[in-house]
Amino acid sequence: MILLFQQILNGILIGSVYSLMALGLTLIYGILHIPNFAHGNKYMWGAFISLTLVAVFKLNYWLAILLSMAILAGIGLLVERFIFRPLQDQPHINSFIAAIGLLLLLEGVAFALWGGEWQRFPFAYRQNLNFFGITITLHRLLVIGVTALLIILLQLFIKKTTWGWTIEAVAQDRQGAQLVGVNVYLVSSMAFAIGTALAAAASSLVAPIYLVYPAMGSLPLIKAFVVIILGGMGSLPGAVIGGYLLGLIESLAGGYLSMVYADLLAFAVLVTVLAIKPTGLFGKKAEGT
Amino acid sequence: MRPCFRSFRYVSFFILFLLIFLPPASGQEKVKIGVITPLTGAIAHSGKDHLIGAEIAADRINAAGGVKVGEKRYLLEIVALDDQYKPDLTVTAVRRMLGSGVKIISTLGTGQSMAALELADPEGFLLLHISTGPSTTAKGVKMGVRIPSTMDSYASSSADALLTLRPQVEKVGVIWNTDPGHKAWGEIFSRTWTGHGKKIVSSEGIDFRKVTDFYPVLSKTLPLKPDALLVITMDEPLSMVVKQARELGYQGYFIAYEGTGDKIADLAGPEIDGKFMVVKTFYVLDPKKMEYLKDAYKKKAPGISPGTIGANGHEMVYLAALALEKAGTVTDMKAVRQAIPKVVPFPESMRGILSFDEKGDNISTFVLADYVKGKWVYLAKVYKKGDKPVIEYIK
Repeated sequence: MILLFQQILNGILIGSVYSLMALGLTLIYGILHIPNFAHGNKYMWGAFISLTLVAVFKLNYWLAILLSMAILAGIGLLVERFIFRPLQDQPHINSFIAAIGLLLLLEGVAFALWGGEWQRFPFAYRQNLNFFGITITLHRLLVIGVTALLIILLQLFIKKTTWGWTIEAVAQDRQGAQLVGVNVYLVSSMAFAIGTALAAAASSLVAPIYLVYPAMGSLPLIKAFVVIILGGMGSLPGAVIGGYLLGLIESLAGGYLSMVYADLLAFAVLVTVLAIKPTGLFGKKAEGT
Repeated sequence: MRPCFRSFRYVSFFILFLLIFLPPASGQEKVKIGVITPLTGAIAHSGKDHLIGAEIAADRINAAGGVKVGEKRYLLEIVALDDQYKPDLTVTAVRRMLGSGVKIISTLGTGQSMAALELADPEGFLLLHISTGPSTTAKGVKMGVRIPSTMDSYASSSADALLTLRPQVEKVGVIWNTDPGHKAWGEIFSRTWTGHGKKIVSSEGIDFRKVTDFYPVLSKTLPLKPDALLVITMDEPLSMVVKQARELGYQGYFIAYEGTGDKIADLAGPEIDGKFMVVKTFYVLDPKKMEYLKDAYKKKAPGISPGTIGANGHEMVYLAALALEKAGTVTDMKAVRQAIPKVVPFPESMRGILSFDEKGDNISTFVLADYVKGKWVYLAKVYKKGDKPVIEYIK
């Protein structure tokens, strides 16, 4: 029983990363309909920036996370304005290629700036907590808590503020929103900035318990794509629930079967869900053409 | 403007002529040694170690006048290509090297070397591979030579030695990297350990290039109460496994194959203190060699400390240089390959290669060490006598 609860806790931690990544990805997809392949590398940049701020500039860990989120939000704004916005009325394939180009660019620059080696984050809350035989470090608990807080804040922002309503409006009907006076370009920039900042938050939160290296974003990116397909493309609740679900499946598969089969099982669940519900768990059926 | 342009053109032609037709300033021809290794990606630190070790050896040989082949002297030139630790890129890199006239190539990793070995005999180049999986030399490729010892010798010997060195250890949990060489390490150790009537409580494969959170696998392994965890991977992920296992309350021993030298001590620190058994395969037995390589690294690549793979890279270049001299040719690689068993042992060998067999495997010494209060403590010295390993315990 203890093993089950320990694996559930592990799964919630993994799911926290997937949820934050998937939220950013689905937010960008919902507004711009771009599968942002470079999202994994923005996750990696977030971790490296936080690491640099803590290790080199000796900043407080939480301040470093906020700064990293702000810097990545800025990068997100620039990317949207100068790469994706000019391609908006072009064939979709152009945006796909631009996203792949951006992925390679971010990876190349990261190699040049930080090198290709594994790096250890110089800070973590190492206190051990024990509840009924289940062990967790304070840092892991904080990752779970802060992720939940970020998800709630995002939900409040979308549902309770005018800015959030404009995002929902553009996601539902871009032209309709434009007709009623919503500045769709501003909304696109905002979605990109928030989505990218969430990736930075995810990586900065887990960097002290994982290793930091240029390829660290590739696996969470693939998993985030699985999550948003599982949860339903463009669906925010789908991204959150799908993220935690995938984390739990992986952790339980690793615990009761083998780590080698964890990915296999995650993809098997994806295929099964899509076979039963092709739009994903929370996806809406596409309008007929 | 026109006369000026003409002069510029003449000067350009003259410089081009000099570059093409004049011999290099040293007047010596060069023999290229190709190093195909991961210079980017998660394993890049090992690749850099491989390359730096090779470059230091080449610099040292060149400073002493180069390689004497017959009556002629040649300088060594190290050319490097990045394969990102991906076998398909290793093959592409081999083809590029062959296209630019490289006849001696060194690769890193069992899977990567297996891919390059497919080409060695048909293309006639000498492959000095840094791989530890038994499968590479089992392929029977005539032009392939393994630089480190095959892991079956130290995987089985470390299990044998564990009986004496850590008599309290009964149950071992094995966590292995999903790389053919590391997987083989785990299998050989497990076979030997269970052969002694002891228990392997779990065997878990992880792709250490992708996974850096080991809580799921440790949560599964630690309730089985292993006395020791055998973790087969590079130093950085090993240090994460060590830290996370300690976080989960594990107090037992760790057994490891040293990937990158003393780095594990810096990374894992007090968590391994007195509870570690590592297979060290290079220069620890000779403090002079250790100091030489450390000093050379300080000058060549400050910030990088030499590891096993760097020592292998260094040894590989010396082996190639001595075999070229012995064979008396820089073109006939079959003759160079045949000369290799005749040039060992040689003083510049970092580990003390004793001999090579016909498969391209070498027999050399290694030690088992613990890390106690910030220092390595050597527990046993292992070498092969005939087919059987001999374990000498160090008091």
